[in-house]
Amino acid sequence: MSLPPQVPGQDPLARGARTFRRRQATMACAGAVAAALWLSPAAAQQQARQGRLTIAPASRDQMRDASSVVDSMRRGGELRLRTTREDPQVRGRTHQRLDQFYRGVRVFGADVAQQLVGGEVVSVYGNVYDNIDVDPSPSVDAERARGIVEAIAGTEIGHQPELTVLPREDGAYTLTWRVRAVTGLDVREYFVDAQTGGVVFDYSDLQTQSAVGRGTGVLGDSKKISVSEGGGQFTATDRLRPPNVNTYDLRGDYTRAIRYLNQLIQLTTNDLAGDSDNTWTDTAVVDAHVYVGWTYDYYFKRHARRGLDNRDLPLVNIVHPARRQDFQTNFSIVPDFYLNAGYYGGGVMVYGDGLPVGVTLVGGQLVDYFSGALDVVAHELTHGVTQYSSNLIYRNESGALNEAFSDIMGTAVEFFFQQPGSGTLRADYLCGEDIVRPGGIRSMENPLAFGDPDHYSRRFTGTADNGGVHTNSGIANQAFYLAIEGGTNRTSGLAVQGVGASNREQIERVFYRAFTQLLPANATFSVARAATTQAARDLFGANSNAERAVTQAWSAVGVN
Amino acid sequence: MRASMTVTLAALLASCATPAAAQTWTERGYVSVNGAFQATTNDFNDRFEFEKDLETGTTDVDYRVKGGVVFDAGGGVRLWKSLGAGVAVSYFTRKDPAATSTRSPHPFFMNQFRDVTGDTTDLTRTETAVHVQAMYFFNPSGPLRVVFSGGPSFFNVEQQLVSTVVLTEAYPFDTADFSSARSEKVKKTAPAFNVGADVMWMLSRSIGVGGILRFSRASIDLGAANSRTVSVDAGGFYAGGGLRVVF
Repeated sequence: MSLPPQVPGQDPLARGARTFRRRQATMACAGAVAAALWLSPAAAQQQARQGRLTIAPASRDQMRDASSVVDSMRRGGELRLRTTREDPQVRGRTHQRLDQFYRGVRVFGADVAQQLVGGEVVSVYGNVYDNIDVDPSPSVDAERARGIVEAIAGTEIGHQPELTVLPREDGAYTLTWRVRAVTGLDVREYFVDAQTGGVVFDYSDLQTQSAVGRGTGVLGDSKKISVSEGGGQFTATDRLRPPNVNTYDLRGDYTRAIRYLNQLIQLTTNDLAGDSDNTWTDTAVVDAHVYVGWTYDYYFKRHARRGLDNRDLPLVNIVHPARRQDFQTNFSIVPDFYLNAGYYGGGVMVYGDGLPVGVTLVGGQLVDYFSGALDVVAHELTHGVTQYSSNLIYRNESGALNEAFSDIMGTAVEFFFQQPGSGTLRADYLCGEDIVRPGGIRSMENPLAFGDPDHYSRRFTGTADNGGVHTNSGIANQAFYLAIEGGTNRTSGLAVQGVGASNREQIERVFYRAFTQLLPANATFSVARAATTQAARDLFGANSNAERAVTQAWSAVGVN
Repeated sequence: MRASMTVTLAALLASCATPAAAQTWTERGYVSVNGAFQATTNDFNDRFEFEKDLETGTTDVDYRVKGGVVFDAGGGVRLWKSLGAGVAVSYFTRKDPAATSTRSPHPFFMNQFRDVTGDTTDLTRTETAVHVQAMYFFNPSGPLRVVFSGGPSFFNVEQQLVSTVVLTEAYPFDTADFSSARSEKVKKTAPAFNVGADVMWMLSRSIGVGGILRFSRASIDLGAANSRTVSVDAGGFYAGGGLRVVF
């Protein structure tokens, strides 16, 4: 399922719109047509990209032309004086700011600033829009617009909405009501279509900055958490990493979680996990937010990859889709929102709450918050990497490879950040051992220990679990393990000379290259063997240790 | 250095004072204006801590304070026979570089510091000293005049100290680069001592030229930001010459 997350704050003024040449040809205000020449070449190029008229005269003549056009627009009522202030730094100078209006309605983001001395214009800069053609009479009144935003923002609004012409990204203009909503977590500007009542644009006007907080993880470990600070509140928005990383706390409202995942609602800043003193104690929030960042770091540092789509796709974490204390009453959603972490496409991850204290799996294992295991978080994110690369079909052998790649990268991330060893917060070849305790849920070193095949001859051939995607992943997992650590496959008895733990990076790079660049969507184990062998040759040369280890490992697990 | 210089000056004083034929000054006193060169270097170092991203970072700074030009002016009066008193003021200022070495916490990870080095320039050291002196006036022969002096000094040291190192850093923040250093001026006055000799050659009854040797030394604990103290040495040996007016 692909679910593009909400991307708040994109400026419609900066996107698309018409070219400079077209503006030259169609500009409505006659005097201003010539004024296109105000633009310096650099400004003209900028203008051509951004689709608005930038006033930035580069010579005295252009200045004269510009100021005369500004005067003309003022006389025509298109520019209206907003402020006049004396210059506190240079004596005798005055600064004026003028807003553009269209038939009495202010145009959003269109204004001019000019500096004068004795009535003579010294400088003039601005952005104005031309060829506006909207009906300035709203069908939706201000009260209704305010009510619409109140419903969205979840707060009462006292001030009067302002009728505004909003320049749109496609070059069109929309008559809107501009409504400002202040909540505990955000200050947001909404633009409600004055004809239809729909919100056509909104952005956060809250001035925030990055902050580093201290958080306690699910296992009681202390770690740094990259968050945002604004309005005296800290929110789980990572501003230090290239992609937008947000962690939302749905506070156990699983209905809302489902509606979001079905794209029926959008999450707002009110849903962001927050903290008042920047000492974060919601362990599920801390680990989800931190481990997603670490996983991004791993891909960036090890594989020079910029996030899931290699283009810094925004990442959305959802924690507490259901609450542990509601476990007994939410039995129908236990598989998804308690006993699972899931990648839902489009960079959205949901982490289950695990089981309440005193409730265990049949084998006696406790299940903690799913965000509390680095390899689990990395596993889920790697599904996103797969989605945006090989897009391995999630059934049968390609599905098992999909799962295996997530296990492989999850383990690789663990070894990248944690010390090797056994127990919690240690890097090993168990999967999920930090949250399903004791033991975890899979082993790459010995898949048989969890009932998973370590050899192709033992593969699951039924239809359950999409053809055993979580079972047959053990075959590729074992190959990855043997290629690094070496050893003997328990089923075939074939020995493998691995590259050694100190060279694990080689095998990680081989599998990453094969699984993201070489494999087709319906790959089989056999194709995976060929692709990883090719990747080893590409990266380390024919007959390299890496190629030898990879080929021996696949042979040992019965894949030829 | 300090001890050897003291011994040298004492020996000089003893050798000059020995001749029995020496005459005493008949003049009341003198004033002098000198340009001199301070040979002593007063390098020092400092370490300060800073809080960043929940951890404590450190910056070590190695300051160079080379020798340089000293302006010296003073004078003395004979009070009883060959003994007298005087006062002199010396002024020394120069700008020197400093080498910084910073360990800056990582924004994402505990105990993962980034080591950053960088140099900053033009850190000003200014030493203004007032030397109060007991004097021995000595006239070996003809136009030659010698004055030995010694006594307490009062040093005012103003030093520009690095207070913050500005780093440039970007994702993934595993390294950082030195961008610039901000500094603060601190100053303090402390007592010291001085010994010296002034050798004059009178060109006329009241005008002459002369050479000066002076050793004055102070150790000062400068108070810097965050309640830390930075120990510096000031002064040293300087030698120079200039104009003398005898009255």
